[in-house]
Amino acid sequence: MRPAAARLLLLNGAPAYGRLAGIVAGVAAGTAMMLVLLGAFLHLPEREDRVAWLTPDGDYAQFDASDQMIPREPQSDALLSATLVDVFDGRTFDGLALAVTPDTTVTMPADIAPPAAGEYYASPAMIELIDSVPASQLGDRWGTLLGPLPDEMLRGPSHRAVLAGVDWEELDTWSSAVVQEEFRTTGPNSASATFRIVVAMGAIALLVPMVLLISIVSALGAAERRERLATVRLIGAGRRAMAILSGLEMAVASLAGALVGVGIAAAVRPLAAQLSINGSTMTVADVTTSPAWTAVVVLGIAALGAGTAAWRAYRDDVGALGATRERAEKPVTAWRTSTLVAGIVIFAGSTAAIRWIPNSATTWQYPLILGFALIAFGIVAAGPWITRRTSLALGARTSSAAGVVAAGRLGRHPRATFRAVAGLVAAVFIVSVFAGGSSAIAGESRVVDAEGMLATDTLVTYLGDDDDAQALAEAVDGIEGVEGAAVGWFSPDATVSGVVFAADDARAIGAIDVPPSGLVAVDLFDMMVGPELSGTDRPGVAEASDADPTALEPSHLLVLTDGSREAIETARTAIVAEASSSLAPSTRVDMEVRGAADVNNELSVMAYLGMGIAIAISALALSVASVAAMLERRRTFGLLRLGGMPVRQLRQTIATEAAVPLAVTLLLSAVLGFAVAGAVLESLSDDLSLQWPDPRYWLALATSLAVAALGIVGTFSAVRRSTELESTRFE
Amino acid sequence: MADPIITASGLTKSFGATAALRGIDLEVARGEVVAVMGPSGSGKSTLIHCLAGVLAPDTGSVAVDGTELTALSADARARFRLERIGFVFQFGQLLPDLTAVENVALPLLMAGARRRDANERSLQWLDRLDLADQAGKSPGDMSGGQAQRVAIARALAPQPSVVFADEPTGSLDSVAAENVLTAMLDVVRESGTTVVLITHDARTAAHADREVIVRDGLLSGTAPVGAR
Amino acid sequence: MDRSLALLGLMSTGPTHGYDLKNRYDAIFGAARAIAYGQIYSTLARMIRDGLIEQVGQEPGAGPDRKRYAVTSAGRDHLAAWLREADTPSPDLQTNLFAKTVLALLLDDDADALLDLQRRAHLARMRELTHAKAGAALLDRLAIDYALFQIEADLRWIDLTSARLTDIDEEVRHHG
Repeated sequence: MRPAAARLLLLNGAPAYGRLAGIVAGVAAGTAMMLVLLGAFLHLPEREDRVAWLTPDGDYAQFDASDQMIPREPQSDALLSATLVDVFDGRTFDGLALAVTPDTTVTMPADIAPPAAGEYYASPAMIELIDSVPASQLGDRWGTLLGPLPDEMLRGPSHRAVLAGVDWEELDTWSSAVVQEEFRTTGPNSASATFRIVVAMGAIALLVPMVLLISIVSALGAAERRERLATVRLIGAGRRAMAILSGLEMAVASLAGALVGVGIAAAVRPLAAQLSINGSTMTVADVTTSPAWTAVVVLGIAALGAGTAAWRAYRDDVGALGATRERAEKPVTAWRTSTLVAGIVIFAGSTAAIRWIPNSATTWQYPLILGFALIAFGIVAAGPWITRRTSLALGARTSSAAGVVAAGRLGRHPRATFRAVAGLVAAVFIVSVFAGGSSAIAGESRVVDAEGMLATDTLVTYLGDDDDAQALAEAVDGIEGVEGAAVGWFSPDATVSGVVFAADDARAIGAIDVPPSGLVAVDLFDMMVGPELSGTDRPGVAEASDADPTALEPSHLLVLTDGSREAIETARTAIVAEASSSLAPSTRVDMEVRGAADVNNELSVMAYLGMGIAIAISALALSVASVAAMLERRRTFGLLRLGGMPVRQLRQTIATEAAVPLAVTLLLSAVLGFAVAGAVLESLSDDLSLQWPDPRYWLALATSLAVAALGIVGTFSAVRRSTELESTRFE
Repeated sequence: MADPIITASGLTKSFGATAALRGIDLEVARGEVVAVMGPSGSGKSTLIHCLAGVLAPDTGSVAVDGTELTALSADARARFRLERIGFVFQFGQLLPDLTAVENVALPLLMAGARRRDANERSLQWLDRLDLADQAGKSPGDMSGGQAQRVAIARALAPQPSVVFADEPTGSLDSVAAENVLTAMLDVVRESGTTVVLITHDARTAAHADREVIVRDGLLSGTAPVGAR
Repeated sequence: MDRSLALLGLMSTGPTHGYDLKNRYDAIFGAARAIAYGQIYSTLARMIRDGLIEQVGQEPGAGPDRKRYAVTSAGRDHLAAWLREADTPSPDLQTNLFAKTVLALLLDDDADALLDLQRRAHLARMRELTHAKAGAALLDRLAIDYALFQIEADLRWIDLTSARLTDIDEEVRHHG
């Protein structure tokens, strides 16, 4: 191969440079995205390891023959801890109650000084929250602030966490307290597994449109390029030489793109780190890949680009010189659906395995991800075949010229035509997956006040053995906004279930059908979760025995408030500071919050961000592909216009060529997306199930279609211009 | 002329400072085959564009089969071309993705014909041009001569008033060219269609009933006295 | 080519001498063969006899070179008729048409029209032949094709000449 030939092949005029620039830009964006997502994927377990200290992992208290808890003596070589389940104004945070002896030999995480009883550490984000409200509402819950928790103990900058020192003997009475010899140093795998799956799915989802864009851009000016290749062949280059040359060209372009991508990744990391995963934003280091991984990605992309280009050049016999006509593609066969089928089988199999084999999520997450990837690529791979089948049906029936022309092109170039919409199809698949996933959480009943239900502004406290109900009730009594307190007792009669209240108190907390006086047993669980979940028609009230209240053992303290944040949080703080329970008093609203609201929000932010990127890329790809398809046939269309073909029909043709593959595959990807979401929910979570998607999904679908329409309409002026008389003059 | 199907008078057309047509009068009789000759840049293309209603002349008028083209809007002219005028070009007019019969049916469908009728008529025209056995093939699988005959069938299928054939055999060898031209003119003369044949090739022009020569924006022989 | 008509054409630009006439003839038409003095004078004598030219004076000195000749109105008519007449296709056609074109340029006549005239005559002939060919036997068609190609060659030359008229004009004037 002579250098002159290489120049002729590679760099001949502005279109060639435009094509190379497009490839470099596409590869750069793809690499950047991949590096960030890979960084997140790799660092998620390590991130969970940092917060392993939050998870107690030891022995619960033993009980003696008479069902009395055996006290655990303070030991210098062990620690006693319990998870704090607490909330502030609808915001959850992590917490650990810790008791060690003053002479403890236990190694503290990050070598901080162990907090004594009544002292606590808080993360910077938590300190900020504590400082933003009066101490009586939040800070007083744990005593004196010792200082901030170091970064090594946190998920990220926005992580809210507390490490509170508690007196050993007091903590020992908490039912959730465990004894362990040292802090955990590795987080539970399951904590990061779910999010790793999500990140991996996101990465795959975004890479599909990216790969498609690159392939569309590299197919730009294919006709000119074929002509040039034919010239190079004519002056003596063999197929091998052509393959090497094309490979080298792509290697250089994709290497350049990947290197630019490394720069872009560095620039967008601070932004990407703002994304909240598993309750906190990330540190820049969490989304940064090591130099070794970066090198692997960069070289891998260059090698992949070069290999693909070389293989294509080797396979694509350019034919005789001047044979620049766009040639029909090789027919697509039903085999194209095999990837999709394989993906569905693997995916279904691994979700079933996770569902039915206990504790298998860690093992089966990889085939699950593989199955998802195969489905995502499988839709794209099967698209041309589906497009072709549809076009045959369309071509046989349509009576419009635009339909005939579009069907002809779709039938002969199903790959090229489907590629134009593949990005959107992939995006819709992903959005459907996430919409399906978040629908499950959003679909849970909203917390509302209703007759017979516990008021949403009532705090429920579960009392420990040592708690003095009366003292706690008095502690909250004077707080502004607190309208009353009601103590509930264990039912003295085994045949009567429920929490026993004085009749007045029962009425005050909202129970209905309460007898005028005496003691009543209230089904508090029903009142809290509502008839839907409890399965009963309405919260029940039963008359209890006329036992003396003072002889009963208190079980609950209910605090009625005016619903203001100040009242609820001040009362909560007062009780947390006094009561001996890891479970902070909570309203019905708080309990919902502790559910999955945060996760839901995180998932939808990621989903819609990913979708935004995917749709933007896809719209670009659709426009580029439509214009390219137009230019390939500009002479013929120009001559048809000369013969009187209205521009309108030309536009209909372009629109039909995009709409047909879009319509058939969009439906398929939406259905598959929901199926995948359903399967994931079934396998990864016990209590969530698929719901009808929320309006945001339909909005997203409508946006995709609008963007597709815009992409097409955007080509209309190019359609008119490129087929004007001047472009097809009579000779 | 007894029954002119094209009547053009006083046609002028300028592109910027360049006068492409400088006053052309031309009549073409119904059923006549006229060759338009002239060197490149003579204004031949512009003349044909004006006669076919592709371009509107600056001054003068063109009437085709009783319709005054200069009075029509651009859209109306496009409609007129679709229904009343056929075009045959040198190459590149057939859609490579469609079969021969689909290509021929295209202008019929554009004009609103039903698929079944369009197919039937297209097959008839292909048959008249000896292409019945090629109906299901795509242009890429045909010889150049066959493709041009498909193009001719497409131009004739809507039964236009006038067919403008622009170097229809320009990219064919002499034998194929002769065959295509003969086939076209046989069908045309049989159906009484008027043809304006644009060519620089004398042997092609010799198939016409007469020729007009365009030079410097004028029909030769009509130059004003003293001008050259 | 009829040399007498070529000479008549050259003289039409103005009265001239025999010697001058030879030089001009050789410069424009003499590429193939120069004309001899003897032929000049015999042709001049014949044209005087036919009333196409006349002697308009004699400069001082002896010899035939001193005589000046001019074209008569009969000569002009004769020349114009010749110029405006299309030749039938023949091997001589090129030289004849060449002479006519050059003379038309020299005389500021319409060389284009002259070429068009010839083109039309040729095309008419081709049309006849093409028409005849349609019903002819194969061997006859071969003969007709031969004739068509011959005429086509002429036509191509005409087209080429037509396209280069401006350049030829300059060259002719330079010599004229």
